[in-house]
Amino acid sequence: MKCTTISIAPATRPSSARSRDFSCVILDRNGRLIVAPPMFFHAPVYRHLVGRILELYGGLADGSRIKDGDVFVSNHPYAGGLPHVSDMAFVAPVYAGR
Amino acid sequence: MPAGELVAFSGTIAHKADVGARVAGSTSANATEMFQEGLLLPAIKIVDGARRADRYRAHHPRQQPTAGPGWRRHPRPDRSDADGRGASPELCSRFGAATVTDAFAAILKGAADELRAAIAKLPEGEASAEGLLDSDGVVLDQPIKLAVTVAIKEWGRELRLLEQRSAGPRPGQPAPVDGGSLRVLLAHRLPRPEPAFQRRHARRGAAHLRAAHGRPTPRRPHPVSNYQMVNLKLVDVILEALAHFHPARAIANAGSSSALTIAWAKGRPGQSNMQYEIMGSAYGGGMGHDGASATATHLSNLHITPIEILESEFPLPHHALRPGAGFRRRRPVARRTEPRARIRAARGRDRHSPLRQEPFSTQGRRRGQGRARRALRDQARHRAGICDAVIGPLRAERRASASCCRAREAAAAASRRRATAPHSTAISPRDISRPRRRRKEYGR
Repeated sequence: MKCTTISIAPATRPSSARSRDFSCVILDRNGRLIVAPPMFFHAPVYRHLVGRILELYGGLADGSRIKDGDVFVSNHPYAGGLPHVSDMAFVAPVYAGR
Repeated sequence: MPAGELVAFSGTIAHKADVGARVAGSTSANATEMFQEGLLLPAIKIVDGARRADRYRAHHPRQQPTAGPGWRRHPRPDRSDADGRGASPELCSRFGAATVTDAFAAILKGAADELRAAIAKLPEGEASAEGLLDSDGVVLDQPIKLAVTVAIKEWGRELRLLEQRSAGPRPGQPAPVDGGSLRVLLAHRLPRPEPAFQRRHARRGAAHLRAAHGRPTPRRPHPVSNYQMVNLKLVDVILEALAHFHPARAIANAGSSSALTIAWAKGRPGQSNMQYEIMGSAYGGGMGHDGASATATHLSNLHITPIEILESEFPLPHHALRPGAGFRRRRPVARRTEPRARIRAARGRDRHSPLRQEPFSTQGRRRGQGRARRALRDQARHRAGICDAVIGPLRAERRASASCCRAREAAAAASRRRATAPHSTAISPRDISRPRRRRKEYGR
């Protein structure tokens, strides 16, 4: 909710400020939704995208190239699973004790 | 769980008004492949650690306090939220990472149990439904059949999509549909569970969709616009099949949608420079009650812009639902916009334009591709009745006699007419969506 509020506040585009065509979520370490997005069709996207990121960057095992402070982006409907090109997704890992 | 271990992800998705497509608004009804719809980013790391994140913030205009009126009205978010990680690190420090991950697991299990209970309330059996797509986005006027059979067996354990196949110009090719979207949309229409029930990914653990013939996976070169069309229709077909199990939650057919994009050549201070809308109708309709007359389609804006906001930006003397809209009639919303100043409007070609043709891809032009494109274009023109063979020698004669000088004279005459025209000019939806003229200037 806080992230959603912060996203709305500075938005000047009608698609975000008025239509609210965006979502903010929390996912577990495998990309499963813990907090559901208000835009319900965004729900499967995150799982697909995080799964793809884990696959590309070494997953959860040792030697993974995912580290604290990383931010991933995608709007690719096939490679990232986004609904369409206009939807830009950002994903960041959360680490314990950081 | 040791410190420093990955416990969660935070994510956000936002619809950008324009990502550099061939048309304003990026989502072109005429796109025949997604490369025409703008910049494409696969899953890449845009910030490599906090160090680059700081540099990114320093150069990003959105992070400047004077970037826009919104920043003057609202305080700047704190650093942790600007990182996009939300409150999860704070929860880990307060309760421990193991507690947080255990809570995540409990949340997911609870949602899955609720969904299993909801499925268990449905009667056992099978139901089928069919639907037709107008086209596959490349070859026009050749509908594609979507056939779906939904079976509910093994109470509370599985909800199986037995069949999903396309037939028509490309028989056997899987429909370009994301199965994940279908799972969520399907779960959305199941019997209402407890109020606390939320749509979480745990539902996927309880409801499985399986296609007996091929995996419902998006595949090139299907355009994204068509991908959405397929999603709209296929979800309709699935929900129609599901209505047999739960008639009280049956819905009206979603019909179709229309899109309108208005962009300003010169920016307006403090205002957005583009308005993009996708509208549908009949959503929420069911047995004994009508649906919404004009709203956004799913896979576009879920929360439609209220008409009052549209009126404040764009005077709309007329905005109404067309009779019969929502039941397979295209362009369900009729509206007329009156600009406040003289404008020049470039009308995008309608998706049913006979001039639509398959473009080049990033693979480059292949041998014989131009000939194939011309053949497709000529076929479409012939079907639409505007090819030379149909119109006859008159049109060919006009085209042959049109010299560059005559074209310049016509353009100059049109410019003189515009200069003497009144400022207020009405654009009707019919003008915007008429397919046979490629470009028209308004303002006589």
